Amino acid sequence: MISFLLRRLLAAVPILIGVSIVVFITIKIIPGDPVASLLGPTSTPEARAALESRLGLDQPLPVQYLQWVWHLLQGDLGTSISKQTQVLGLVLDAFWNTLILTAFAAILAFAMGIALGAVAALRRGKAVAALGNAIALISISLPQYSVGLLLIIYIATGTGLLPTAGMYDAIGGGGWGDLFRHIILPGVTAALVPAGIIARMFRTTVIDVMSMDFIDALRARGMSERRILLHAFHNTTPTLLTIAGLQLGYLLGGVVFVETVFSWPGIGLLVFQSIAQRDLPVIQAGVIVSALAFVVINLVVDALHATIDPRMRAHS
Amino acid sequence: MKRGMLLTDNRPVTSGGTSPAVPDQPSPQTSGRGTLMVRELSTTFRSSGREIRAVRSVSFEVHPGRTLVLLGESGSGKSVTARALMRLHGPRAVIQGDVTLGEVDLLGVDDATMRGIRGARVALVPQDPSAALDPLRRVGGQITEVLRLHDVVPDKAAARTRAIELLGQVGIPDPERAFRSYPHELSGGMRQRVVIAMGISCDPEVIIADEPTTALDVTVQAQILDLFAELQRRLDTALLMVTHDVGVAADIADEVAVMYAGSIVETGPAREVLERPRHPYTQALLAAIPTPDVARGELVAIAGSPPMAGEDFPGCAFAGRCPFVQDSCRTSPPPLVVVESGHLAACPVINPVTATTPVVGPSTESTR
Repeated sequence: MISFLLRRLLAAVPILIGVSIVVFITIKIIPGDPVASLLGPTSTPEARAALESRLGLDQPLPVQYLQWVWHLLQGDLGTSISKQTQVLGLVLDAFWNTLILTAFAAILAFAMGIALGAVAALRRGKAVAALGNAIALISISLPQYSVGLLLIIYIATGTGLLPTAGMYDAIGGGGWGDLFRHIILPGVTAALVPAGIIARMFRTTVIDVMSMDFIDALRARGMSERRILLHAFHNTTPTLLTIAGLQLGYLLGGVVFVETVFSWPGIGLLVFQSIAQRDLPVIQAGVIVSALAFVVINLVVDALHATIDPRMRAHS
Repeated sequence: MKRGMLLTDNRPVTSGGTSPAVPDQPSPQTSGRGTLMVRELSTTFRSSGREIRAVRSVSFEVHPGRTLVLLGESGSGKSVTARALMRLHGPRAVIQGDVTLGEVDLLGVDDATMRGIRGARVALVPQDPSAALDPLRRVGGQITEVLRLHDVVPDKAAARTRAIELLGQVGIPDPERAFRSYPHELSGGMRQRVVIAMGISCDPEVIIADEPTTALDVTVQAQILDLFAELQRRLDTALLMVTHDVGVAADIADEVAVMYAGSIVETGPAREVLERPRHPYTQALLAAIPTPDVARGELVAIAGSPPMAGEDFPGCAFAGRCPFVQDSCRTSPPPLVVVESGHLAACPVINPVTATTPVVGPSTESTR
């Protein structure tokens, strides 16, 4: 098991190197000059040259890349060009907020997806199953940004029950209750598409497992339908984990929209704002942290998979 | 009652007849063991408005310590029959007739009672042992679950002891290790032994084995058949084996019932039926068995094909392929004709009718 994890960790290294190169190059390619945007259109060429050399932007690209990676490895993500603070602190704070939103959305998505999928699978041919399928399909088809806006218009401003944006009230805010009120709408918005996908995949999985011969064998051994269901659900867990790995990554990516719409102070909003401001160190750091999170999630999923499914341990 | 380790036991194994008398040990219990009686069992599947009659009024009996082989090709209804006895078909299957085990009406009892009977009094050994085990759980836990389910052991520790004992009885060399193994860590033959161990775990009165050797290679097949024969004799169980393999039938059967298109067409003592078949289908089937001196490309086959599922025929199902067919064959179903004592064939054309039996079908009692 330990060697299994070590091998997975080693396999993650080239992925992260690849991500860092892609991020670095992409940011160099996109139009817009950070120096010009910092100093404004009236700046002199001398001032621009001076800032360029202070930021190290006059060096050749490979040198810039290696310098960046070298600092990255030391935990130094540089200084934000626009905010003039340490990028590491900015990114970690934002990432923590994103994690809270993602975790909440993931719980919602899995609860809803598993419930809908199970109903659709176990009540096949009945009206409830059709309803479950319809809900799943609708929730997949709704684009997050429009759902977010609709929720803001009709639920938040319409009823006034829930806040329209942010993570805490600016005045007299704070605490779990306040956080919970703020997280509901963005959480639901982020959860809808993954919930639908999970529902559809889980439905297929349950149907597959229920048609396996051993389920029939359990029945022939005299087990009750309830007990058989327990065995069946146990056998859906490997697939469920695979789904989790994919959907958590999707959620992490999807919250960029949601955070922007709901002004949730997470990594998505941070990167979105930094792109507008050409704040390259923050963009780079934000993407790298997200990629790292993706890799860690998949590592955890693989480890859990191997714990649950003995065949995985044998084949890896 | 604990039973000795079967495979380390070198008592003589005699074939046929009654259980060997063993003076030094109590003989397997014979009292209280019921006979499986099946009368005019039919199974019809309803699917999207269509009715498919998979089993058409079959009757047979299997007595304790005896083996009845249901022999037939794919689609002949033999597996459907076996599963209908345990009521394992879903709500789309309509099962008619009478099935009794001892005093219990298996088709009449409520679902909870039936669950208590499945695995405990009637056990199923399914076709593919690899698929019949939960891939995510250790073999031992799967056996103890059955033991605990039917309350045949007082506690967990006893269940473990009994499970390891059972694994030893079915000839697994290192039962302790097998107990801790996952299904994928065992070979096909070992998995089938595990499934058989689960089958006999609650000391059932009837074991229904559905093509238990089909998924195994030939040498392992022979071992598993020997195991069945020994276990059955030792445990005094009634064994109903379903197979398409005439060799398996010849090897293990006391009685054979040949099925074709949902009906039993011939039945009787295994030697009788397999050496002197009296139904055109059985004759053709046996003639189709390849022998080593048959040249390449010269396999004998029965011309034509059996009726399609759902196809209805008023007369004999084999009429379209039968060399002895007469007009009357196509209009009314042929009755089972007594050929000799205990040997019946559903063909009045090639068998002179001395007395037609009513629906009473094959019985393993006749040679007991």
